[in-house]
Amino acid sequence: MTAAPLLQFDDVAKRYGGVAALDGVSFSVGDEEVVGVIGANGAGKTTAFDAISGFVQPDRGRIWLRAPDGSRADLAGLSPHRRAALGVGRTFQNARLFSSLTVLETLRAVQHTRGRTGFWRSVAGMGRAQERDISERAHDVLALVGLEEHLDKPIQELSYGMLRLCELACVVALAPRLLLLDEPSSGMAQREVEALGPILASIRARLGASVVLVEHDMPFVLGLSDRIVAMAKGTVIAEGRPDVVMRDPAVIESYLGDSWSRPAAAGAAHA
Amino acid sequence: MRLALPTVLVLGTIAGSVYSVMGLGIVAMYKATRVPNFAFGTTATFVALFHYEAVAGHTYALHLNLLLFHLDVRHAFHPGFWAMMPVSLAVAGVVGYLIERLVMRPFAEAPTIALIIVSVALYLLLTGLAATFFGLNDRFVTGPEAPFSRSHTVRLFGVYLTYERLGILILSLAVSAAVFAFFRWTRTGLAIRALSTKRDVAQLCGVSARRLSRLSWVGGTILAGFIGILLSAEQVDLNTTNLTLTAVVGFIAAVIGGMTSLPIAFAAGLVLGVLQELVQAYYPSGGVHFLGHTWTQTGMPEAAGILVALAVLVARPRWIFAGSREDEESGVTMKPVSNPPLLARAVDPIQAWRLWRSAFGLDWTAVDEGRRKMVRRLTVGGVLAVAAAWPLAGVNHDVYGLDFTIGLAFFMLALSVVVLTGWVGQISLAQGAFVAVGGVGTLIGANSFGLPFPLPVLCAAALSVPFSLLIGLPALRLRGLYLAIATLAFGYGSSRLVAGNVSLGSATAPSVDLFGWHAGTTLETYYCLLAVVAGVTFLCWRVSVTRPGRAFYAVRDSETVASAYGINTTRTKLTGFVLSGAVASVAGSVLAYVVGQPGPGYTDIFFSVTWLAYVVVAGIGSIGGAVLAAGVFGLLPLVFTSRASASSTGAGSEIVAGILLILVMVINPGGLATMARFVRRRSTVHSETGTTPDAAVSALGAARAL
Repeated sequence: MTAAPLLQFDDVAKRYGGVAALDGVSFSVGDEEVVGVIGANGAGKTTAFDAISGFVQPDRGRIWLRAPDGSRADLAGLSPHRRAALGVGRTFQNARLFSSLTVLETLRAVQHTRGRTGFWRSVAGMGRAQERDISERAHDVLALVGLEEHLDKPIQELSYGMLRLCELACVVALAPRLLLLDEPSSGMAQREVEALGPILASIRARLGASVVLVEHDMPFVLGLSDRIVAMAKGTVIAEGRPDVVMRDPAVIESYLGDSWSRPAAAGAAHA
Repeated sequence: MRLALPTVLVLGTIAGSVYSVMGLGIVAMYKATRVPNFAFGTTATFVALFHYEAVAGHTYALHLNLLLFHLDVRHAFHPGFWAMMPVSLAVAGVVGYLIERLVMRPFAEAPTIALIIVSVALYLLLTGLAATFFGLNDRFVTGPEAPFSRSHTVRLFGVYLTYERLGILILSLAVSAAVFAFFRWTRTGLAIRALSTKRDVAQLCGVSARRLSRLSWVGGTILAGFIGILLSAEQVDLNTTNLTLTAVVGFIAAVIGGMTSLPIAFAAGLVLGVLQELVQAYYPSGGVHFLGHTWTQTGMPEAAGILVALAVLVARPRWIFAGSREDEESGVTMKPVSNPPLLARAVDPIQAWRLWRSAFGLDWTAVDEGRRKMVRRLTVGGVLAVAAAWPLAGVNHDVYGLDFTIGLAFFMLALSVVVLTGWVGQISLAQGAFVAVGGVGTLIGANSFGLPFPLPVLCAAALSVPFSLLIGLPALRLRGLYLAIATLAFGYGSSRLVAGNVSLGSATAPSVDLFGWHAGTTLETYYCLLAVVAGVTFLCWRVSVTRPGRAFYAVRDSETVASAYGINTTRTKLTGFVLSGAVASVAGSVLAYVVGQPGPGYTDIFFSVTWLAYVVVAGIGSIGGAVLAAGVFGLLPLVFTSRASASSTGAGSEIVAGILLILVMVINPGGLATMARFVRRRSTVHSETGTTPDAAVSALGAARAL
């Protein structure tokens, strides 16, 4: 076993005025593990994501990421683009991409970290092989999510479901080691959600990445996750295997509600 | 002789009270309409000109050659200053109503960047109309038409003031107090405050944004008119630019107040006024020696005020900016407004397009990528051929060589706007400052160092880099409106400073010197400069299709998403500013070789703002748009108007540009250059919308099969 987990949250806290969005949160994510984060609105899930990807600086605590060379990197003070270069990829709750670019242009733009050709070398056309590589990968990844027929469509003309798929294609193209998915099924029709699970599974298998998933659709998250972290009011209230967390009284009280008991059993059985 | 401190303070307070009341007017209008009203000073000028024409008993001669009619109103009676006031203010109200009804209404919920550009359009339109109605000559408000006596004085704090200055101080303070009272104690003021804090919630609570917008345009224009009339009484010479420049300082006061805080905007105006007077009074009379140049005090008061404003903008103290809204993204991607006005519908390109298409049996939707590439190559080839071979067409190149060379400079300027605004999504109202830097750098390189030909251009580009970084630094902290104002402040200060101070070789244009060979004729110079311009254009095109260009577009569309995918937004923005500044400096280099040091007509903020507008009209997103802008708005007026008015664009073209700009913003924010693509999209969208959701599901199905 390697020395350190891929991601480690160590007593992280963040306050907005009088509200503690994160209040001493600790958990870790191992290699090739899928961790589902659940909790009511305002539990601190998205703040945790923002803290990992660098859009929020915690007031207290450390976030460690195992660097590609095996050493432990402290993420504090690193800007989002540096973290992306270290292998942290994320999607956004409301699926945001570059609205005026076409699908293909977007897929090329998000591979910025892959070819590190400088300004003058790029302009002089010295990164030809890299450009070809980036193009091939873009086509490849679009085929994976089934968007290869919509290459020349501007992003702002995509339907919401296709936008979600395109966003997934983008994070796959980035090839992160840690993939943060912020409510990937929100705003999708039930049919689309059912199709999404297998896509996520195949993406995870292809990347070999660890996945952290914030999600409200219980059957979906239970079917996908190896482990569940339940949060409430900025703290972790339960952590463990999905079937165990689902029966935790604190989780039922703060998030799931009583009526969940029967579907919970079904979901757990499914998992 | 140096003025005593109390005198300086009192004079500063008077100047400041004027800035304050302008700042209040701008903030008040912004609160209700979200429009940063760049036309505030021009509106004031317009009303003031109307007023003084009437008071002085001049003849209204409307030379509207554009519309082919000639109106000549003579009135025999000479109304007194105060008797005419209600009439002028009523006219101001009507102007405000017309602006709201004809121009602003479709933009009620438009993004900030669209509002900035529409506001610029309004500025152009009003400037053009003022010049058409009232002529371009300066007025001198003296004698019977001046409202206050200049000969009577009164002693205040040991300082002797003319009645006129005292009147301005008292009236400014009274108007300010009235604006405060309106927002503090009236129901409408409360509604506007609600609207400016949470626009959607206020509307849901029954606040009518449209009614308040109309009210605010009518009220704001009356306020602007009143200030204009008042100030013209003091400023003596009344023309189309003076008040607009004063309004720039008012604007800076408004921005220091975060565009939301009336008291801070008021205080900022006073501070700016006092600061300027202090610098003016206590700057060393012999000038300051720095960088081998003696800097006289011209432009220093403005520069000092600008530095304070920039510092406040960059620091953004929470206690000022707590209530101000911030645009989340800096992008200039603009969406068409949903409900185009009648005029726009009348010239809807879709209808025209359908007609043409059926006439020629063409269907561009079916044109494949290869054919499009061919069309693109042919276009580039055509433009190059015209640029290179026009002298063969029997045109007198001794006469028109100069016009075409200046056209090249306009193209470089337009291209720099395309790079910065179209590609990187940053807005700069100070591109003219880089033209000045480029011109000075080239003259230093060629005349002082005697460098051979292409090197002075490079020298100028290198000189532009620190300026680019200076203007780019605020851009790291500021977005949208605040960035626009910061660059406006920068451009205002620097153009005053450079125009007043730096004078190199007094318009001695160097000849192109290519290792001993000298370009003797205008045409030879033109070809040498054309080669440089073609090279720069090729460089920009390469940037647009490679890795740096992709980073530009990503940052333009969403900084957050760009950084999540590993793009360094700071570095990308600064790269964009440096590239754009260097391209604009080449415009200055081109001008340096034909006219010597570029004068204010090529460098001041009016020039910068006008060209931003031209490029938006022509197409902000592509090099083709820059070509179109330079050709239509730069070269054609040069070739077809008399040489006497070569550097200043006539009133007619300002009116046309203003109207075009508004129409483009309403119909297709991508500009003329993308009109074909836009039309294609709009005409195909109906057939596709029905199938899109199913397409998504089938895509999902296909993916599932993997």
